[in-house]
Amino acid sequence: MTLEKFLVELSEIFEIKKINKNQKITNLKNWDSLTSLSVLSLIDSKFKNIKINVSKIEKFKSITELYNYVSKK
Amino acid sequence: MFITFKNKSISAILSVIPNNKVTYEEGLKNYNFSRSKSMKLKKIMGFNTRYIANKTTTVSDLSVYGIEYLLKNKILNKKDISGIILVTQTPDYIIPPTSNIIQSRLNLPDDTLCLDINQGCAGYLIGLMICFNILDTKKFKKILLINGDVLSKKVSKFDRNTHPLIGDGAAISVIENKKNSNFFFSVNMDGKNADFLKIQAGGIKTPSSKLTAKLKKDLHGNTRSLENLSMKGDEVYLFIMSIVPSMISKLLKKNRVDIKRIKYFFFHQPNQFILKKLSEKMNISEKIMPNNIVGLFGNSSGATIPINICNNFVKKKNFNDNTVCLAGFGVGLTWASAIINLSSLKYKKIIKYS
Repeated sequence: MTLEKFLVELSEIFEIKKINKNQKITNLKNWDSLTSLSVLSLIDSKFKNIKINVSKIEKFKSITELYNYVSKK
Repeated sequence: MFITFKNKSISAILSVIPNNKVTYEEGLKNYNFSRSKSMKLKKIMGFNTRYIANKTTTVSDLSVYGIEYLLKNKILNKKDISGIILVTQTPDYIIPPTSNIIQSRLNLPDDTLCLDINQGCAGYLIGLMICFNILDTKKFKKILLINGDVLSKKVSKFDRNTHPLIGDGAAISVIENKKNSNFFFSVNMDGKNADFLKIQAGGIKTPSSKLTAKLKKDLHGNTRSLENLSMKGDEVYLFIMSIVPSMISKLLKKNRVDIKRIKYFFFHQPNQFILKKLSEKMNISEKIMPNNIVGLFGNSSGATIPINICNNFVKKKNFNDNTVCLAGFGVGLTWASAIINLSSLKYKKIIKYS
């Protein structure tokens, strides 16, 4: 999955038209237990062999960094 | 671990549901989230209605009510009951076992084997394995496997993480020796991650006190005390998604069973979201992997698989068309699965406790 596609998926989860890839995911308006689970589920189903949980997702400084980690770039 | 049992049968399942029906919306005012956010959660998780026990209703009440119903309707003969295996995490007392209380309330003879097992989401499979083992001694006629919990009493109404999904209930399965096909089981445990689902206080290690009863808000805005059930939702999700598909494929492979022979996948019902994701990942149609129990009755821990069977199983005439796969996963952590044949299931029903 490309970064662009990842951002589209996130915009659907968070119901935000355009996601700024340089911001921290936890700063998105709708970040809560439900959206975080949806992000987790997205990563779990689209990226192979990634060990990650919500507290780890919360630590990435930007969405690009998160993407690079899960896509092993 | 893989185990095979021969010539065992589940001949009847009766599910007893408490009569207080509550809706998801009734709980909204207590959650620290906007209505629109909580309604979104409802849609995704498949929450709707669930049934909750009265303040004074216990697991032994639900169980005795159900067993008396089976006796009255001649599904079961009192003299055939040689054991009561109760799987619960909400016993009436710490001491004595609740199964002994059930024995006494039913005036069963003193050669009735009574045993309580502390197990949760995988409790139907663990219970079946114990019953089958006991039946192998051939000393026992019929064993009542009871999966009962009133976990609603242990969740905080301010905790949107647990409160909207937990329901109460008890399911009584009549287990006996009978010529049948082989029953294949797999079971695994991981105590290292036992903290994922836990009630911290109220046992011997951390006795109940004013301090443990105090409500505290967590990072996500959910409020609960140390005496309430706490669940690490994301960790539980990852655990289930990572172990269940491989557990089922290993069980099928080990026993050389073609997945096409499985007519139903009756899984534990944590919530609809996880079950939909599992059916996607395993490429199994939702039609044969039901996910409707949480929305109808709530998640009643070990009782969800028998309730699932009572609500969704349609028996076929042809023996081989009744091969089903069961799976339970959660508290412990424990994960277990089985391939069993339900042809000998002569009776199944869901009744309301009153």
